[in-house]
Amino acid sequence: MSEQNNVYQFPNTPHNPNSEDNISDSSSNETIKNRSLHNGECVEIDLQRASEGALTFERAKDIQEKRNDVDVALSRLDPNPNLIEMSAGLLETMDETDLAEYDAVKNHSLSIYDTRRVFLLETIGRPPHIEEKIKGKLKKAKRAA
Amino acid sequence: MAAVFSKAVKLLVGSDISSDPTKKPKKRPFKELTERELIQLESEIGAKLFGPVKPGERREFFNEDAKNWIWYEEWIGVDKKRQNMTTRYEIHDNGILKVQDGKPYVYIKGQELKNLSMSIQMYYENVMREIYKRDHRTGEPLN
Repeated sequence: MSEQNNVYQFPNTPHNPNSEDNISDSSSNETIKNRSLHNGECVEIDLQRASEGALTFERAKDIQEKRNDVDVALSRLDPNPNLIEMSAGLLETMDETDLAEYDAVKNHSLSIYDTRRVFLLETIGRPPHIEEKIKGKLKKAKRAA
Repeated sequence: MAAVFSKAVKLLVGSDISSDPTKKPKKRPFKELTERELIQLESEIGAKLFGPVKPGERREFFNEDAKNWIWYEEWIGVDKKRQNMTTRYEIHDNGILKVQDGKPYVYIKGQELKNLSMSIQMYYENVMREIYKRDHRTGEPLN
């Protein structure tokens, strides 16, 4: 998965945002076609755009951290700073793209969790009475052998 | 009789002979993968989505449950002390809440939301394929 590593490298670690290591390789502008979302919808992911997005993410995070510092300072004055964020009219400020992204996150979040539960049940979560039955069969087989 | 014995053994330990990590029960009969172990396996894939981790650093990125995603980073700071940061992304009905220790909660949007979405999409595809051996589009087992 080396190609994917390069592309989805968020070139950031929180400790050193200005390091040269953070400059992503944007020379790759290949496009992965027909990657599919879980709902079956086909999309194209532009790798260069994804790399640039990672840098933007880093800058946004820096700004966010500075803003958070200010918020923390303000919070000493405000008894409930979270209320300000919670009532900031989130849905009004989210555009259609944001909402679509949110839906994608939500769908994938639920799906991976469901898959894990199914996997546990199907492969290792045998009910005890079934487990006993299998053990009994094994014992019989051993004795017979 | 040998056939019955062989069938019973197969029922207990499975018949796969591949060396991937999800087949641990083959070499460890009766030892089960727990949900925690599955999450660790997922996290190994999740961490790779963000590129290589430098020596001395650690990264985790995983889906904890139906509503929570965790991003954890550990590194050596300029003062040579070990630092860490945990970010929890909570899926709420009205958006995704970003929770960090000591900081006000914020609903993410814009580029950060896009990046998280893309990461989750890649995580989903890779984890489905590499751990659960399922087609990420249909959820059906891979052949």
